[in-house]
Amino acid sequence: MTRREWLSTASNGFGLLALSSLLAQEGSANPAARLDQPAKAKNVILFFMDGGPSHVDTFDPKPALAKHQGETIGESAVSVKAQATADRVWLGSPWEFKRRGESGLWVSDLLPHAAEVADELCVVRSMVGLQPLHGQQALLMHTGRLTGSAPSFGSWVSYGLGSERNNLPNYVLLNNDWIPNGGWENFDSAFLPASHGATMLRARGLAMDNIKPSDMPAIQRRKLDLLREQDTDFATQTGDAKIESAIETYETAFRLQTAIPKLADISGEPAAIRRMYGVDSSNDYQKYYSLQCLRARRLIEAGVRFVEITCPLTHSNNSPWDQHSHLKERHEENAMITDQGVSALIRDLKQRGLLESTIVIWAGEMGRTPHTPKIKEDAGRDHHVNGYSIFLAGGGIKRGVTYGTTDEFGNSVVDRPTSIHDIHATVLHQLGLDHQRLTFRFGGRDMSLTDVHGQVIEDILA
Amino acid sequence: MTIMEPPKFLATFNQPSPKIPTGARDVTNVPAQALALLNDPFVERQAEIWAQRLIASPHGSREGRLAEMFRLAFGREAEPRELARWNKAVDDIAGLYQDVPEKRPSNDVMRSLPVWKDVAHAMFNAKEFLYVR
Repeated sequence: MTRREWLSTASNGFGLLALSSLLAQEGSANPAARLDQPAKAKNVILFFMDGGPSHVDTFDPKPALAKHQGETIGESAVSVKAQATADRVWLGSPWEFKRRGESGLWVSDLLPHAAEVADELCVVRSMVGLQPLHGQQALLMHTGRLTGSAPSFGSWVSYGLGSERNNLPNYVLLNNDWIPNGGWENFDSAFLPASHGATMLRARGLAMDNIKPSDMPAIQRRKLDLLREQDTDFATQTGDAKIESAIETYETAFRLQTAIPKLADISGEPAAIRRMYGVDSSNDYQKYYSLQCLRARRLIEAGVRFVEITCPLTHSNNSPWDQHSHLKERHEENAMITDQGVSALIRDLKQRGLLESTIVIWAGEMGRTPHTPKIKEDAGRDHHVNGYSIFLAGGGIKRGVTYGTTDEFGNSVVDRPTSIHDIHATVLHQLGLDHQRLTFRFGGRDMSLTDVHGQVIEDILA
Repeated sequence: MTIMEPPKFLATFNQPSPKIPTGARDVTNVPAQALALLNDPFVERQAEIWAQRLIASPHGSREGRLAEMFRLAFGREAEPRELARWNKAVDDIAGLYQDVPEKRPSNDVMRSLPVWKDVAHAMFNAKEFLYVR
């Protein structure tokens, strides 16, 4: 008996209830999924560059830093939104900036592959955070709150849009053996239904624990059918919605056993695609990061709504892009690991006509100080949320443009300060969702991703 | 377990990281947990141990054994229709193993480890076992 047959013959209330939720899943009738406006995009990919890539070494050229290198920054340049003291000195960028593509967008030599897709990018140079701390900023970026304990960005998107295909999770985290600061809360559904939390796929080894059935398929199916009958009785007796949801979870798990290995397996990808992403790189970090980028495309094609890719931790410091020292050496290492995969994914989406409907976000949780304690060979940059750069691409966002301006040193924002809530509001807007109306009742009030903040950045919409 | 890495199986069920103070464990219901209960070798092993105990016990009938399992797992008596349901599953599982030489039950299904391991494993996955009322 198939699930559908069984449900249609079930005479008790639970059966009807499950049926209606099943139909809701298969159509687009998630109650939250009434779009507030026409959608420009339906998927999101977030490249989380945790640790904080330096804005003045990537997308925000500041010739003044080289000119005044070694000079003290002075009291007026000190901000609580950066690790700063008046006696620190300006530090010029070790990389040369060039205008790229037809748009002439500035990208430094640190990111040669991003430079090649410059015409696709919308660089927001005026990001302002709240605290120059990894965990807090990562949680702010993911949950809209410094303190976390609220649903992840991806969870809200999943909740808002519902699923396109119900044999896959809506929100997938493509991890590289390192959970960013702030921990799992960054990816958790919190008070939203658990099905909206991230499902994590590892880069190395088996993509997901226990994804391989321990039983012969027919035996497992027989057990699950037995359980469904038994559990349905139990759910009816208890009247507990949690039990119904647990029954659903088992069905999802059953389907994942076939769906996930198929999506994670890139062996059928042509040689040209493998080369483009760098999945055969001799460097393991790059190889696996690229693998995750290629899997991201496969997930998007399969209808997954929100895919996040995190960076590997190559040195046992705080987080991947956190170069308090060895800026040149280790930013270059991080760029080598990630740059090719990121731009390959953007190009691949474009050539398949998917970039139009997919919003790509490349962002750290912070930038890095334009100043340093002392000029030396292995100098680094410290935490800085008082103006930093991220980029967006695709999904009806303007191409080959910058938005917002920092001062001549990249030390503060002088035009169009932008909060992460503004980015959230803008991305939701492109997905057809109004950030003020995408709410969930919890703790006595209607919670939302942006809380009381956030404005759609109309200027960057195409 | 080490401070840096809690045991994977327990971590799936939100065992807090030993590195940080945690006020209360998260309560979640995610496919990864269902997959662990369905496929993790630890759960399989526990089912096997229970099945070995059952096979060694002097149960007169399948219904008698299933009723005993209900008492142990759910702390209550099984209803007749539940016994019929699980008995049918025992038949079906034994039937499915007919084509698998190393698991094919002898004439006495009561002594088949693979079959009773599956029944025990299914019971571990019953929501009544997993959720305390």
